[in-house]
Amino acid sequence: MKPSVLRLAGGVLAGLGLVLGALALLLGPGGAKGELALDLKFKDRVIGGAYKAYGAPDCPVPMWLAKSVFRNQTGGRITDLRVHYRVSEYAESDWSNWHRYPALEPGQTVVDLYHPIFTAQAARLTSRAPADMYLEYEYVDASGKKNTLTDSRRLTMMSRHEFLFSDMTAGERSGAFQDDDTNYPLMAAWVSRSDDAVVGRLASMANKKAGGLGASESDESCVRVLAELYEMMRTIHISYQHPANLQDPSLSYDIKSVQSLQFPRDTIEKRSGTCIDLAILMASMMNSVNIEPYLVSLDGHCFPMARLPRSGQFLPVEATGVGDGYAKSMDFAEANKSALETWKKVTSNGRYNLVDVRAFWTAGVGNPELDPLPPDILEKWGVMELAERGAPATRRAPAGGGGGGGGQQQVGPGAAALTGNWACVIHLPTGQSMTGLCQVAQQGSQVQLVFRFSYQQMGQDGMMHQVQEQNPFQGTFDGVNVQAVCQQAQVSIDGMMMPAQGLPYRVALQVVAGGRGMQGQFANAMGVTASLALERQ
Amino acid sequence: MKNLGIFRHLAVAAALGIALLGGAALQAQDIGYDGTFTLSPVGDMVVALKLTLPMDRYQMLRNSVSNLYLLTRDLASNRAGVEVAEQKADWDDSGRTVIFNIRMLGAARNLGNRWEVEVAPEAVFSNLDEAKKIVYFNETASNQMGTIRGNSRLQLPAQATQAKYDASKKVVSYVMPKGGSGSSRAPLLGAAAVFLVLGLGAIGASFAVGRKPNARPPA
Repeated sequence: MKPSVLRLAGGVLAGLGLVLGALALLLGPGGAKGELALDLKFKDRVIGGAYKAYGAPDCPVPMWLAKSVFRNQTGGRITDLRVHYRVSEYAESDWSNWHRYPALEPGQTVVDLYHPIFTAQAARLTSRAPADMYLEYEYVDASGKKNTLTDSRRLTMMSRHEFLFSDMTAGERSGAFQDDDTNYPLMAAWVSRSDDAVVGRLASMANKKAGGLGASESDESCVRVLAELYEMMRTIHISYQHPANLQDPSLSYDIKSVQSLQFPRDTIEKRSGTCIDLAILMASMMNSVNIEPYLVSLDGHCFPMARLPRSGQFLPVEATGVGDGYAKSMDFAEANKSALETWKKVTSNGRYNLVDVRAFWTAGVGNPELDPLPPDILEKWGVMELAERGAPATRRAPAGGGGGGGGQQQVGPGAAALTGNWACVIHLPTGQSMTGLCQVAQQGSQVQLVFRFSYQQMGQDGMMHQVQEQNPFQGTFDGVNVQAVCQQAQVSIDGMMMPAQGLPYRVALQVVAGGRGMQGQFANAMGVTASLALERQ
Repeated sequence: MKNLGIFRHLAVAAALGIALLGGAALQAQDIGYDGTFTLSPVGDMVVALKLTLPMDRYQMLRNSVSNLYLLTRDLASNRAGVEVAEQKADWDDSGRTVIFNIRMLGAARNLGNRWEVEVAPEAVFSNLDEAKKIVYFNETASNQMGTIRGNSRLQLPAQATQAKYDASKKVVSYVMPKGGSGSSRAPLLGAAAVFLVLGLGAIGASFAVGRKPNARPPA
């Protein structure tokens, strides 16, 4: 080879070596280009009622408030990365502890989560409030230079009653049931353990009515106590109300996903609640008497369920069965039957979520710290009087509003004010009316009504037949309202005894016209209702 | 392993979907689980999970879960506690298996002189194959509805050394060589040195080759 060619090749190779060496020095320590990239995610809504869950890294629902994704995009090694956070007013008073990362190689990613420890202040909010979250991070780059950077985000603290069922954005939704219920474990936060002044007292009374049984001793005793808990809800006149969704177009989520949830104390005070509120109240009472509580969350509905202590079987209860007045309410057996049918249906199609209340408590979905209630709060709310009397309340008109608001007069359950014979007329939905007699016997708050009707009715054979009915009702009278149930009825057609249909019958009546009349509603188990008016003879 | 746990949670969620449909009968047959977790030199992790179900449960899941996206969307960046770069879920009808493939960023923690990967409390250490750099675990997850049972393997980076499993801390640790975690400087410097030496050598050789001899050999 000619020396000149060899020299030229050597020059090229040496030049290439110098270029590569320079490039290496540029990429290496002292000359690293690029940056430590931060992608900061954060939850823009804080669910105030479940504030404790944000501090629980192992919560069944990921409850981090911020997620910082750092990526080393420099060509050199980064050291001593540290991050800390702060939320104004509602979380720890100062910055969180530093989260430290000793080293980040080029191309390495670090994911840092912020689980704030909110204070009870978060649960005191009765309406939304803005808050700021701050982030500060430091690191030493490959050249040894220390860098300090900050960032912040504005978020909204939701009131203690607001529940965000799902954080699925429109783009993530698939039309499945699960879209609307991703936060279901957080419902456990509303099943309060700190309401002993209200829940504990009522549950304890119910337990006594069941004979003071230990609900965890046997399945039978558990069922009996459960039945009394349900009856207690009826006794203190808890009623079902339709939910009012919060219309908030500012939410990035589907507005249907926000609903106001009540703590048990709220439901007892208001004596009404949505299906979830009633389920939460009953679950809270269950827990109070050591029955393992569950909530079943399904499409647009929720009901409570107990786990029997021996067999481990689930016993669901339709808490909305407390209805709106006895005429529209179910007894415990019916409420159980109704919920059981729903339970069977959803377990066959999978469209439900099971809230294992105690398990979720353990996993970090803690109850919020609510203000303590005075020990006599039930008396002040007028609930104890109802609970002790074991009769429907005076504050509510009978279902159907047959008596309206006017004409109410306290007659007094002590006097035998209703005893006597009454003429009655029943107006059927078909437009037909029937007249009859009603014999009433009252002793204290106990009342017996015997309705007798005699009428003609066309049979399937096209002939008219003589029908006679005698329907004895047993019930209670609280001074204004009569609630009574008929379990057995006598029906004869042309003198031949026939089985009564649609039992049990229920009547809800209100005393009007200074005690000279009663108005209200009749309902049978098949859902047929009719208005009823009685006039003293 | 924490990361395993997270993804096993995903597996449990899938199984739970089945359990909800199946009820007590599920207890009769376990759901098979197989997980492979492969770490990259910079601590990212590729996850491959397989859940093998009894035929009736598989059919129920197939019928009830219209789209496996329902089970993987919880890994969305704005929701999950991990950062997932890629995810995929597939049905394998012939094997009655649901397959999840996920790539997660920042799964291992770089402590400067070593790396660590957390192990879920339920994972039971089985074996460490130092030659293959694989850590084996047995995994069992159950509730009143049924049991998922199987094995998982944690494949460490090829360059990893001094792999250990610390049972008390439930951590797998390993050491990566300096510059072996992705630094681009060392190879460049090496190449530069080689080229420089070759180049200078060639230039020097050219002078030696081009020099004229001082005397002719005797005739």
